[in-house]
Amino acid sequence: MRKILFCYLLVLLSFQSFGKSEYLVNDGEIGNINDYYSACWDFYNFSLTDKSDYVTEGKYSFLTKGSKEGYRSDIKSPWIKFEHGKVDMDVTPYSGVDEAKIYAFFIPFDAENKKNGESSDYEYLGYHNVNHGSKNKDKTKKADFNISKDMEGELGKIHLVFVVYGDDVLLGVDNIEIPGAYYSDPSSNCFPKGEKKDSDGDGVVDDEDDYPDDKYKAYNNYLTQGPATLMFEDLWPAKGDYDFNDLVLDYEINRVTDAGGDVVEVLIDILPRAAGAGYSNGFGIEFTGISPSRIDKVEGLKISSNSIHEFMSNGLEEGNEHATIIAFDKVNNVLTHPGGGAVGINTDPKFPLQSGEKLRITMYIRPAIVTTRTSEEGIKLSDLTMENFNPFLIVNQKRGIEVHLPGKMPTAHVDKSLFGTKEDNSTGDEDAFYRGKESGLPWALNVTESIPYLINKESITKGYNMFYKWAATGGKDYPDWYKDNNGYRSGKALLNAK
Amino acid sequence: MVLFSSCIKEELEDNTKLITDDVESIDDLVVSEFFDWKTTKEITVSIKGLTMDVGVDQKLTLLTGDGDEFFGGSHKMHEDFEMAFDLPAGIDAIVMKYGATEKSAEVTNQVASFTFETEREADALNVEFAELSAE
Repeated sequence: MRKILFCYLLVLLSFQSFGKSEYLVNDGEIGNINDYYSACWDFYNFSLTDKSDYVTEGKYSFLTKGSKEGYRSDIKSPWIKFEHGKVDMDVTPYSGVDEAKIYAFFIPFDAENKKNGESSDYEYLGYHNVNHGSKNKDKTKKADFNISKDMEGELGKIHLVFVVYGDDVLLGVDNIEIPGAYYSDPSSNCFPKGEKKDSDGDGVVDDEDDYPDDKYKAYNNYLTQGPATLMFEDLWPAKGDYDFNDLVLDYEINRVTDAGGDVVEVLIDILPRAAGAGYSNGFGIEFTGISPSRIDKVEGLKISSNSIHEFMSNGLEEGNEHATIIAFDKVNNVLTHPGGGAVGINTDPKFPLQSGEKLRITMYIRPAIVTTRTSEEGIKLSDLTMENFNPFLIVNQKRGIEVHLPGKMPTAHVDKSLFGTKEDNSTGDEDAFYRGKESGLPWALNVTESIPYLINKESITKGYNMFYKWAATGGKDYPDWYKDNNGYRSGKALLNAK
Repeated sequence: MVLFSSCIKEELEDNTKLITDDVESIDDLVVSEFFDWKTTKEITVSIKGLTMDVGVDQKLTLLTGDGDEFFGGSHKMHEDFEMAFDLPAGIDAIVMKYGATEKSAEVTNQVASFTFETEREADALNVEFAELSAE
């Protein structure tokens, strides 16, 4: 007696009642022969019908036809790891079928055959004659073929050949059952699934695991495609000079996920490149929507001993609604002033370019907690997109003066009395922060790749010839204004310290 | 304090004129209050899973047409996938890698769509078996 377990997508595995054998079942119930093809079944001269006159069981059956000379049609299974048992199927000869022969072949796997892996050294399992001499013509019959004990554990396919005799006749086939486990990989041209090593046992094989020896980490997921550039003006809320070089830095954010897709670490690489200001500015990032309590700890910050910031025990800045890191509180801690009377760092070509100190900040995420009383979901990649990335400048050691990208919200530490003053047009509407009153111009820009920045006192339109058109058209024209395309840049207005 | 800042508008105007006079000036620039100033755009990648559970669960990799990887994660082949990504505004094609499968899709209306349906070459099934004529 066999108990068949139906999984809801209808590739059905069945087990004998004593739990020994596993069966691969094809009953046609998916209703689309192409879906079976995608799952590595092959059909030749077969269709799938839902006409009730030709359906043996359920809603669909496979259907072939006959001819006077004998009409051939084939079904070939995916790769199967075989178990001992019987290949069997329901066969229904419809009126007029004189005879139908069903042949079965076992096709072993041959690794040398790079085309489809099939060995030419097949094994004939026998044939079954339907209707010949039958008293019960036109009734559904069982056809079965033995998979012997010594074939158990072998990798192969079952190739069924049907030859049907009779003009304009039809033969239905249903409930094909093969003892063994499905072993094809549709993503690898239907070759057998590989046995691959998973050193850390996290369910991700070593070849695909960015952290093959760490079961808590599996994949790198970069927020930007290579380093991106952030550029700030620091006179907010007053009008700036739009050279966007009061702080220039490159950043790269990698959201490391585990095998289940939860973000477990956020790696933030920062390269300070220029500080065209006389101010002692700091730099922070708010991860909007991420509660500070979800962060286990933060490492790699560059904070002065006499910092104006206060920090939680996990390293985040104290007093914020959302997880907020202060990457460095004084730019001079990460970018050395060249001396010699230079106003800023790396913004005047008359002075030698300085190398910034690369920071690797690691923000460790606390794992999701699931108990009988609480259920806390893990942080997903969709919780850490550009929408949640809210970098900001802290102006000249005054914690209440923050400069954000246009449309981004300030942190809880901002001095709200500054909004709407001087050139700032922040109205309190979510998207209205950090935009200029008359012009709509911003105090900060985020460019998706690392680009040269402006020499001191050169406005951005002087270095990037398409910036004006991009901004004036609301981003419609020249969305690639920052690229090094012919005519896009004026090199004499640009510097490129890295 | 302003004297120590690099951001002095009067000096800016004098100096910029020395470089080029014919480009559009930042002082004339007025932008829409709705302009988001982003150099990225949100692109949704959707993948239709196989109808059947084939028991394949492995790394799904998504890349830009330039080959920059922006997503890596485990994915079951019979499950649908949909996720939005912030990608450079000029991106017009997305590449999907899954096992030995690699497909490219154009970005249309900020959506790139794939299926896991196989594009393998169909086997010729009418192979000759000696036993067919013998029986």
